[in-house]
Amino acid sequence: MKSERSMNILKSKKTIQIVLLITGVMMITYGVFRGEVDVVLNKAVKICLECVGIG
Amino acid sequence: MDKKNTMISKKIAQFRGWIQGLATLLTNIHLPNFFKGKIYQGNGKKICVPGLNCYSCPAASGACPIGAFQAVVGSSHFKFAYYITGFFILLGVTLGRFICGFLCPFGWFQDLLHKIPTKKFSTEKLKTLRYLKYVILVVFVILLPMLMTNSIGMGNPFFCKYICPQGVLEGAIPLSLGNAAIRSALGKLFTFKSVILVSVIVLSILFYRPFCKWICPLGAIYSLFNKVSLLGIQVEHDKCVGCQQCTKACKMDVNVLKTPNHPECIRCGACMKVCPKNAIHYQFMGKNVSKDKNKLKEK
Amino acid sequence: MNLSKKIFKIVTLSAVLALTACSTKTNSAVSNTTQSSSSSETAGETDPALNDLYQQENQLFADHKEAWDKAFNMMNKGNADPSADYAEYLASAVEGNKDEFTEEEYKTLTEDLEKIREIEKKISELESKQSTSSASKDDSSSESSFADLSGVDFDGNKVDKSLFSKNAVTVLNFWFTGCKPCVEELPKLNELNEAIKAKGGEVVGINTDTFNGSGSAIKDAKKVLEQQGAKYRNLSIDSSCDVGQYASNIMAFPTTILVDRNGKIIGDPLLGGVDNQENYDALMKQIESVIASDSATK
Repeated sequence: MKSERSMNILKSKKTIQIVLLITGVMMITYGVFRGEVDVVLNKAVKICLECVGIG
Repeated sequence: MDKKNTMISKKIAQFRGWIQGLATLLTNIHLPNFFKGKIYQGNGKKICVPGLNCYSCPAASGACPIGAFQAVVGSSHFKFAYYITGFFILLGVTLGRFICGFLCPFGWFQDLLHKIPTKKFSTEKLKTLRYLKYVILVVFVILLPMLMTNSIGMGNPFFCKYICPQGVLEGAIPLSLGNAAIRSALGKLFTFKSVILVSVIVLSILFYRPFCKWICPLGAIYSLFNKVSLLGIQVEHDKCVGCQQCTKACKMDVNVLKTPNHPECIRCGACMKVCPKNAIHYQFMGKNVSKDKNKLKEK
Repeated sequence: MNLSKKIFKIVTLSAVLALTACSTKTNSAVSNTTQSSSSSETAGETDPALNDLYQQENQLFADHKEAWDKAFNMMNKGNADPSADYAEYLASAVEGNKDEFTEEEYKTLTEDLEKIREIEKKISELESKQSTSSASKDDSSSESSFADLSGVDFDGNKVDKSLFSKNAVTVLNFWFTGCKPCVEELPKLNELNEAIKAKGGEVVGINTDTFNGSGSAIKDAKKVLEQQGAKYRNLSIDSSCDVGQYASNIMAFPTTILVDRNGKIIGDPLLGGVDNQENYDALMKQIESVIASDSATK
């Protein structure tokens, strides 16, 4: 019984892991599709002085 | 097979310092830029590095995940950052706070500082402060950049601007050393953040990883995944004799026997190194269990 | 022991990789500097080319030494105009003393003169190229002056270097659309533009998102400018021109520089927003001194 319960917990943990993996990949894909990558790149190659705490 | 696995886990734990150094180097690979007072501007910055590493560091090879999150959320075009959040989820569910223990440059910085021989203080009694990092995450990284916008819809990256000491350490200081124009632009904000940096340095010498425990929003995010991450820690209870050496050795105040995948565990492996029975090891994707199928994979 | 050996190898490997990664990166960074040094290289190269041409001329004189010596003796070299075309000078001397030469000598001399005309043309071409490249070499090595500027303003009108010559002082403000402090200082920059317009100054904004006429970036920038009430000129410049190169090398924003009538940068760049009163006053002072020295040189 005890092991059955823990097998259930285990199964749900595996499910959560798979769900999260898929969610993560889908969100990344959607974000790339939306053009967020360009914003990331743009902000990362030009230092806005105030944004990093200079000035 | 378990013995072999424990040996590998212990070896990984032993070489953690080297792995941290390597990770810091790979995260900041454009070293010549330190002398030029410039930052890397290539396409590598489309990708985030796993640890806390400011994009204003001359040598930075990628974008800072926390900085990038605030940039997207604070831009006038987007209200939510799917790309970065997906990145957090992916890294969280695979590695969890292993990143904090092995791959974060600022974590390595604190570890090195802690090696300085002084009297060390325990953070056992200060456990409530752990919640501060979640507050900082929600308020400074998510809400303020999203909500405090000007008329055009642009928000400030509040954590980067007012709090992050990593930005001062590897961005503001090296840049102002190599670039006279930036040096002349240093002002009150820089002074304020330098005070924060100095405080973190002093605290890191006296306590173990105070920034990771109490302040880091990135650690806060990864900690949410510790219980479900593919990389975890397993305690073999049939080998365990209850000596509690592991919990005593844990500097993140985690009760290893009860909760080896506690949100505060940074997978440093200190518990593995002291266990006299080699009962603790890393596990990835639930592999490395004994041959007996009925044995529990998790506690 | 095996594992530690492995780790050592990995570390050294990555160190080597790091150096190679950096060298490929530095190659692109160095290409900027090689641009300025290449002009000095071309300056050096033209010297042997010029020498070669002079030698060709001397060869002609040597081949028909007798005829040319006669011609040289007849020339009034002292009063020659050094800036005049050498071939013309020789031709007029030979023509003027035509009667003194035999038919054969005259034919040889005129043939040589044709060749000399060609050589002189090449020489003058090379010399003018050398002078401009050495001039630009000085400029790029001291990095204080813009050789050229090409682009369009946000209304579609083309701009070039004459932009600078029309103002006593041009305040160039570099910004990008995603930079909040840059956007916040736009109203103050507009104020500055109004203040210095009468004195012959102009504020010109350069948005580094809009390089090479990127339409969507210009649209975004225009929207922001409208919302902030910035009515002064903003440019989308070509990244290949001098100003574009300078702008590509800036990575801290906002940056403001002062350029005088000749395209020369005055003083150090100002980093940070001019909406900070201290910065504004310091900039104003510098502007006034440039205007003053400009009217003095007039």
